[in-house]
Parts: sequence; structure tokens; C-alpha cells
Amino acid sequence: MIRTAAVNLSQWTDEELILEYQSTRQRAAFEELVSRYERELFNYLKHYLGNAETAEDVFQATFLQVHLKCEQYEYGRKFRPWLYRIATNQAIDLRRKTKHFQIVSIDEPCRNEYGSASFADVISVGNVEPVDGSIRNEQAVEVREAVEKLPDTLRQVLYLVYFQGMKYNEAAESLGIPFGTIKSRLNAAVKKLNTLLTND
Amino acid sequence: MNRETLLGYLMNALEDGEMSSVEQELLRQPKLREQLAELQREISPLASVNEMSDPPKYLAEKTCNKIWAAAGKDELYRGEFDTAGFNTGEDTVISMPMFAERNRISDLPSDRSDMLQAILAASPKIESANTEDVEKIVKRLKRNVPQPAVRKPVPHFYRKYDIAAAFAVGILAALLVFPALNGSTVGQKEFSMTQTPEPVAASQVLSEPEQQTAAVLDSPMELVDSGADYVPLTVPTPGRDIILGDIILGQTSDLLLSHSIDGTKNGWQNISFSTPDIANQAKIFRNK
Repeated sequence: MIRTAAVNLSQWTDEELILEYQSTRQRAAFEELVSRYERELFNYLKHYLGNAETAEDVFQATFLQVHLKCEQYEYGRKFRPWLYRIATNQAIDLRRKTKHFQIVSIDEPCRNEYGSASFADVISVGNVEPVDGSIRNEQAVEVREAVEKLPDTLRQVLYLVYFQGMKYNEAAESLGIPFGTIKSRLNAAVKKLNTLLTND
Repeated sequence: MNRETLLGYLMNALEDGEMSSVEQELLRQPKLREQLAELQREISPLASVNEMSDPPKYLAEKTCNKIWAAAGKDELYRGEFDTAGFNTGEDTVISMPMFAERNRISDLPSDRSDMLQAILAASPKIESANTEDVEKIVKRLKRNVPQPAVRKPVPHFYRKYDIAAAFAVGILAALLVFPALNGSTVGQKEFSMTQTPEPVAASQVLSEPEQQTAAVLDSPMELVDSGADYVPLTVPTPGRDIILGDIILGQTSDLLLSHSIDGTKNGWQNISFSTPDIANQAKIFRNK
């Protein structure tokens, strides 16, 4: 169980916590940050890497880097983009190392006898009866596969902006690329996704 | 308004000001609303994969534990030995191989080594000990922990070299100091003393904690150069106390060294003390 400090750290901002840890190495501040981002960052990494186990490893590696590099965190900077930048770099490193191996999770839903759905079918997902989970799963698999086929640069932006709900400027900071590039990459990602799903 | 901005609006990726300006445009332009609806249709498939799943159990705890374990190794590797870590009971650093290789107890300064040896020796007994045993152990630990002498630091000199080397250096220092005491310029690189000692009463310049000691002192004081790392001093007459105080803005603010000359010994006495903490100049008080 993570220890709780005498002070109520849950009310501190991310930036206050990392600065506290930077200056005092108070573990409770660091642990609060890890807890705070446990679900969100894990899901980002799981989406990005397509595998829960790998996401867990990268999650741990990310916070190890936060611990090691906390001196590099600058006052006035937002913590979240900084964290995501580290996490994305860790994920990219892992992808690079394991690019010869396809990562497949046994937890992921798989194709079934209904075959693949067209984009038209997919966008009419709202009309599908809720009880028909198999079709919905199939459509999710289609979309997930299409997202996986996107180039890394486009997928990163899509994950940060759409799945993680980042602002354009936060995503730009997270990836270390210009604001305009984020906008154009997101646009390109949606177009490419549209094409992939239509062709399927 | 371009497609990228509309996408940003749909995904809530614009800043607040931009969001409201897009909304105003949407109210004014029906065509823009159609464009927005089309974009919404394009990104709607993503909703099917936008489910947040639960992270593995205790992910945060496991992560922190791994990092603290790694941090413990790292600190030990860098030789940053900190006994405070033992009090927390969080890290089992004492059993790590790195500890055995790089921070052996025998490598510690003798006082810390003795204390740790005593604690380690006593610890298995503490669990099963009754009150009397605990008192005995505590007494034993107290005996093993050297009581710090008041303001009497052991110079590094004695830690680094054995007695023979210290004696040799002491003789060398005496040879250098002797001419200086007699007004010679030899040895001034290491320290200097005023030709005419200032007749200032010690009690006027010493800080409060030292008043009691200072009361038994008398002038004169002698200036010591704070530039040298070590100041050797040769005292010709036994049976005197020497107090070294730092002078900041004309006042002695701190007592750096207190040294008693063994009155039973005759002849020259050599002492050497470190001066890096002296801010400006220091003065030596000799108690006749």
C-alpha cells in the first residue's frame, strides 16, 4: 500500500508534487504522482503498444525515468506533457527493440465468423443492438487494427489528442514537435484511418 | 475555418478562447456545421476502441517499490551512505552485495563502525529481550558510542595517517612554524600571526556558548591566515589552552577549535587544525 503523507497531497497539483519531489525527494509526493497517472498512463501505453504486459513494463520504466530525470523538470512547465513525452519515448524505444516481434495480447478480442466489417458498417455502430456484443467487438477490432496500421507519427498524435484528451499545445509539448505539425498530423491520421476502414 | 481547427474543436483540443470562437462561427455558418457533422461521422469509429481498462493490480505500488529498490542500489553504488535509511525500515540495503563490497562497516570511521557493530550484534537479542535486557543493551550501546567532545573535532590529519606519519609531519610543521613565531617570513604561506598581538579580552569576542570557557581566558589573541587548508601551530609552553575563533566583521562568531596542552609534558607541542570553515580570519586565544 502506498503510504500517505501527513499533508494531503491529493490536493496538490502535478507540478507542485514533482517540484516537491525534486527538491526534497519526499517519496510520498512521487507516489502520489504514480497513483494519479496509474490508470490514465497505463491505458495510453496499452493503446499505443497494443499489449497490457508491455504497457505495464513501459509504465514502470517511465516512472523510473521520472525519478532519475526529475532534476530536468523545469519550473513553470506542465507536468503531464513532460510525463507523456517520457512515456512515448520509452514506448518508442521498446517498439524499436522489439520491432521484429509482433506483440499480440491474448486479452485482445479477435476476429470471428462474421468477418470484417466495412467502414459504413463501423460508422453505423450506433444502430447495432447492444446485446450483439460480438459484432461490436468485431468492429472495435477493425478500428483497432486500422489504428495500428497508421504510421507511428500519426498514431502518437491520435492517441494523445483523441484518447488522452490533450490540447494541441500539450500534445506538441509531449512529442516535442511544433503546434502546427500536431494539427496536420491529426488531420492526416483521421483521413488515413477513414481510408483504411473504407478499403477494408 | 479549416478542417484541423474543427477537428480540434471536436476533440476538445483547442484552448478555451479558440473553442468559443469556433462556436460563434458555427452559429453563423450553416456550411461549417455540415462540415463539422461530416468530421464527427469520420471520427465516430474511434469511440468503439476508446474504452479505459483497469490497470493491473497494484501497478503503482509495484512501480514505486521497484524504483525505491533501484534507488537504494544507486545510492549505495555512489557511496552515499546514509545511516538514516536504516531507521525507516523500508530498504533492506544492508543485505545487498553492493553494500558488502562498497560500504563495509569496517570501512566506516571508527566511531560509526563501532556503533553499527554494536547495533547489529544486539539486534537479534532485542526481539526476545525483556526490559532488563533492553536496558543492558542500551547501556552497552551507549558505552560503545563515543561521547562527542565539546567543540573538539578530530583533524582529518589523524584519520588519514598513522601516528608515525603524523609525528613526522608535526616535526616538519614545527620547523616551519618556529621561524614565523620569531617574526620570520618563513612559513607565512601556511599561516601568519601578528607581530603585535591585539590585547582584546576573549569574553568580548566569543559567542555566547563559549562564554564560560572564555571567562578563563585572557589575551592576547593571534591572527591566523584562513587561506591555508591546515594551520600548524607550535606552542612553546605546556599548560595552556588554545581557542581558535572565527572573526566575521571584526567579531568572533564561532569557536572552531579548543585544544588543551598537556601540562605534564615539557617542550614544544605541535597541533594542526583545518581552516576551510574560517570565513575571514581567526584568532587564537592562549590561556596562560
